[in-house]
Amino acid sequence: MEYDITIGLEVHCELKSTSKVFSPSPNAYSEKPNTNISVIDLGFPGILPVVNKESIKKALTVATALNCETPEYMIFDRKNYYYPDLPKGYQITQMHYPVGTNGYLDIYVEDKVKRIYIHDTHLEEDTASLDHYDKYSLIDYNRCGVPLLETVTEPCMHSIDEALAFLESLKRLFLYTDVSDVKVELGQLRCDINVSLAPKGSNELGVKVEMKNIISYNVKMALESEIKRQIQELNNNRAIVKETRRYDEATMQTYRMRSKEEAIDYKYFIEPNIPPIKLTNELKKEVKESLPELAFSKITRYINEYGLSLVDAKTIAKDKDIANYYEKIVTSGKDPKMVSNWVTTRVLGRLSKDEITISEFNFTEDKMIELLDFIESGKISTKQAKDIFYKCIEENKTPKKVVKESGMEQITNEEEIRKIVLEVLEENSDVAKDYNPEKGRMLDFFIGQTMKKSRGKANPGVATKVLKEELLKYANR
Amino acid sequence: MITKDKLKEYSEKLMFRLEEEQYDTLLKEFDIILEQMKLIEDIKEIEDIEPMTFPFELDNVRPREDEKIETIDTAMALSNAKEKIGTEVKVPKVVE
Amino acid sequence: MSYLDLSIEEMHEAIINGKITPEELVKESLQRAKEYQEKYNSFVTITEKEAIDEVTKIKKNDSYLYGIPCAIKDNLSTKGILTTSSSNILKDYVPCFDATVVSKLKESGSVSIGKTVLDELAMGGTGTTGHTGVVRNPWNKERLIGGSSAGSCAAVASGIVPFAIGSDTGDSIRKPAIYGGIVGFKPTYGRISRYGLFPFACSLDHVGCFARNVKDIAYVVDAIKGHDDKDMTSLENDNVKYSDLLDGNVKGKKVFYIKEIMDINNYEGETDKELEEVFKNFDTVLEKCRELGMEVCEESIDIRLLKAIFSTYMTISCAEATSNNSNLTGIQFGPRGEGKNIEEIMFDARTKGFSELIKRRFVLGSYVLQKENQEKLFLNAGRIRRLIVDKFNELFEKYDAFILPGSSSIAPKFQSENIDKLSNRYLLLENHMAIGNFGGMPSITIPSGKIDNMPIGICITGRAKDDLNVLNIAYALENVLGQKGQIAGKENK
Repeated sequence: MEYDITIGLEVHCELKSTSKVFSPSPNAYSEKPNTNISVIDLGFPGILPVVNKESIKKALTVATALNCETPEYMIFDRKNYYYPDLPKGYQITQMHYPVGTNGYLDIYVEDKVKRIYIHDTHLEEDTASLDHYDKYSLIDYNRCGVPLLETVTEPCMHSIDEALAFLESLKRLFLYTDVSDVKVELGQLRCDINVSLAPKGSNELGVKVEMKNIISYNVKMALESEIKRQIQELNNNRAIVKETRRYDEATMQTYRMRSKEEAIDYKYFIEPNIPPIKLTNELKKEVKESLPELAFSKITRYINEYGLSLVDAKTIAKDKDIANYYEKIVTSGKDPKMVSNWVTTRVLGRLSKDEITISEFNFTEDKMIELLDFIESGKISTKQAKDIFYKCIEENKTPKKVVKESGMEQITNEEEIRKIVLEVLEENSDVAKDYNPEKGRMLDFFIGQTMKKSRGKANPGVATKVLKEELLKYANR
Repeated sequence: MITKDKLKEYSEKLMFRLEEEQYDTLLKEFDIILEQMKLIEDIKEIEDIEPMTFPFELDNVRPREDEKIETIDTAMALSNAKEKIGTEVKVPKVVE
Repeated sequence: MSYLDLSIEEMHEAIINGKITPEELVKESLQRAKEYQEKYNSFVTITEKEAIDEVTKIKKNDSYLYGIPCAIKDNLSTKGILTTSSSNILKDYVPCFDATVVSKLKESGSVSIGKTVLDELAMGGTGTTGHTGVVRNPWNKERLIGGSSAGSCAAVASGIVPFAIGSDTGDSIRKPAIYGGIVGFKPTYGRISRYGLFPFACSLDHVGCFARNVKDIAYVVDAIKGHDDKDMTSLENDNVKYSDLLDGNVKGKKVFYIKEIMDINNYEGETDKELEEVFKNFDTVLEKCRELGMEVCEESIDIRLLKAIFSTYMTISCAEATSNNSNLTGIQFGPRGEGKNIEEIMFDARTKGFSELIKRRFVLGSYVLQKENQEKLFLNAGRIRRLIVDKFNELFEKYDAFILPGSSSIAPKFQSENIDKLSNRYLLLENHMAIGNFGGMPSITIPSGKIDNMPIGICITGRAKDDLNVLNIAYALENVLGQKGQIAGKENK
């Protein structure tokens, strides 16, 4: 039997800021447990949350980028439950009035455009982390209160590829808008995944199973294993149970955490310690205006305006800084396709070889423009350009300097070339006298001699033109 | 209908237990309280009213500027924790 | 005569004129605290060492509180000093930070001599549920002082300190102040920072104070009020000194009382001699108001709303309380529970740490928040709260304040029969003070007379942020009611 898969994602992303979302302790990763903490993070009696302005702004930025409706006031709720990683016994989050609702994000899945609907995105606080040992667990409160943005999609994805493409696009959105470093290895991007299977063509959704707290790099495996499990159950006429499961990295399988009956009633209510904070029109406008062009729009533009292939467009738009690098060169008037070739092959190749980012790359946009100028003006050949490119990187020099130092610059001045040509003709006057324009090989011989005399610097085109003129004169003498 | 078993379930979700006879007291108390709650239900004209959370509207609520950072000394922060290893609070192994 | 029996203003002058030193005052205060402890049980901790240490270090300043001893309710965080909230679950908790009000008191040069007993976690109105035992009324040891700020009230009423800090969620400062014959004040919500106050119900909690006269209250509030960046609900500074502006001129002020609460016919079958005396006393108070040049009116309010105050209060306060106290699990502080796994140790800590009453309130609070009940109970309570507050704010467009008796009787005896919690007397007369918490309104109680040598008093409540008006009306009235500055068991000055 075949099935329709339906997937919904809840993506948690840690936001960047100097201090935490409700307390003044540092929002920074530390190897040393319990160093980045305040009394507020530890939930001591009498502490009060004070919201970080920057976190609000970043949350609003994402909401805006996701085309969400945004509320008039920032209002928080309490989610009540007992767990040792939650010192207050409740998490401050947004349930009633999320910072963004009813949004969407357009993404490319392979070569198709797909609109992913966003139920809401909301600001909340991260929990402590538990370090597990054989016989006990240890609590490190450093992560407590780190600003966390949870983005919830509608159940609108119908394949693993779609889910992964969305996750990748969302991650790119966080990076483009500079709200997070999205350090996946530090768990800065985690997902809850809802997945249900229904008989193909069925109008109704199947029974929803939730997988909790999946680190983003495990999403693919978790989905594969859970879908496989559900198919097996259904094929064996066993009903899927509405439940919450976890994914085990070691066995690459999902396991039941709790059933629907055991579902926790979080008893949400509005956080009384944080009065509504007005999201002014000025702030909304400021956020909207400072929003950068996002990857989807760039890809589309590169294809339509620059004539790039989807693959190249995606490759360049994958990283905002690469895209900016690319666009700066293109807007200086260089051919978009030629620039794309340089960027997608040589630049990205070099970055990956050196394991650096474009911001650490010493071959800046200006150097690239300079290099391309040399090619365009015919002063160097494409082959030479490649050598100069690498030399510039190795020696941290400008193309101008490298060209000059290595004497690579072509002689394009007609009169200068004419001087050399005349010398060549004098030295080979016997041959020159017999010049016959019909015999191409003779011209080739003189071009070779001219190049040799100019130590390869003579522009072949100019040299040919001058040779033809002078040879005719010579022969007619 | 509130029953003793339900009250037990509620209290256990709050991570505590009462003595058997205390649940009886609680059950009786609930009768009175639910009776009192009816005084709320008696007022019908409230549907369209926004529930009040804050005593009054505050204008000029200012979120904190993201500038300064403050931390508390680790040893002091953990001075009230009964079981520790190194600079972390120790608890029995948490199984997810 | 002891300087400790005087007003803050008089003590201050005596200090300035060198008639007494802060050290002498603090030592005498400590002496009384220890001497009365067995009788009234005002304190969880008498901080003798810290107080003596502190008094030698305080810097001379302009504050009227300089060198004045005080007491602080044990639900306010004091760095390095045990703070229990009178609960076993915090019986060994030593905070590592000061509440803002505590820091401000230190800055003013006031010296705390101890942490006072409250009803466990401030959830109670009798002063009998603290983990270190009941607090007794200094006017009569057989009677309770009321709560939850029981110890703070008893410490001021018995003359140990001239003022004390308390907290008020429904009437937790004002009700005991009535029973103790002193002044109790909770200013506008947010006037005094709640940072460091162990929360009972955040949207109703107020920090406030006790003293033996209104001007002293003004001195104390002047020292502890102000915007606090650590409390998002705290108000902007009003940049005035209440103590400078009290003038007792209340001519032309308009006050009202509520017809339904003051209609004796609503208490058929529930009246007794005390209630009649309370009503009689209230008439006298109204007469005095008029003599002072105030206009007194009767206003009618839907009795269903008034009768719903208590359940609205219980619903909201218990709901917030069950969440607020979810941090008490014995993990990062407090006594550790026993058990094999994490659930069991949290369970054990909470089962042993909370008394029965607290558990019952938590179950109620959790019940009203449950998904299936939230709309009907918790949210409807929020709606009623708004209806009530809107009604009073509408009246405040015409009036400066409303005035009502603070209780229907003198302080009850410890073993007295429980009052019928569905009676009008309970619902209308004993619980109206929560109105001030619903709307964050400044509210003060002052003693207005005695029945069988036990104090009774009145409550004056005004519009939010209009603290000065409320204080000034109380200031004018206390001068004509003849109960000002009294200390239990001592002759009136």
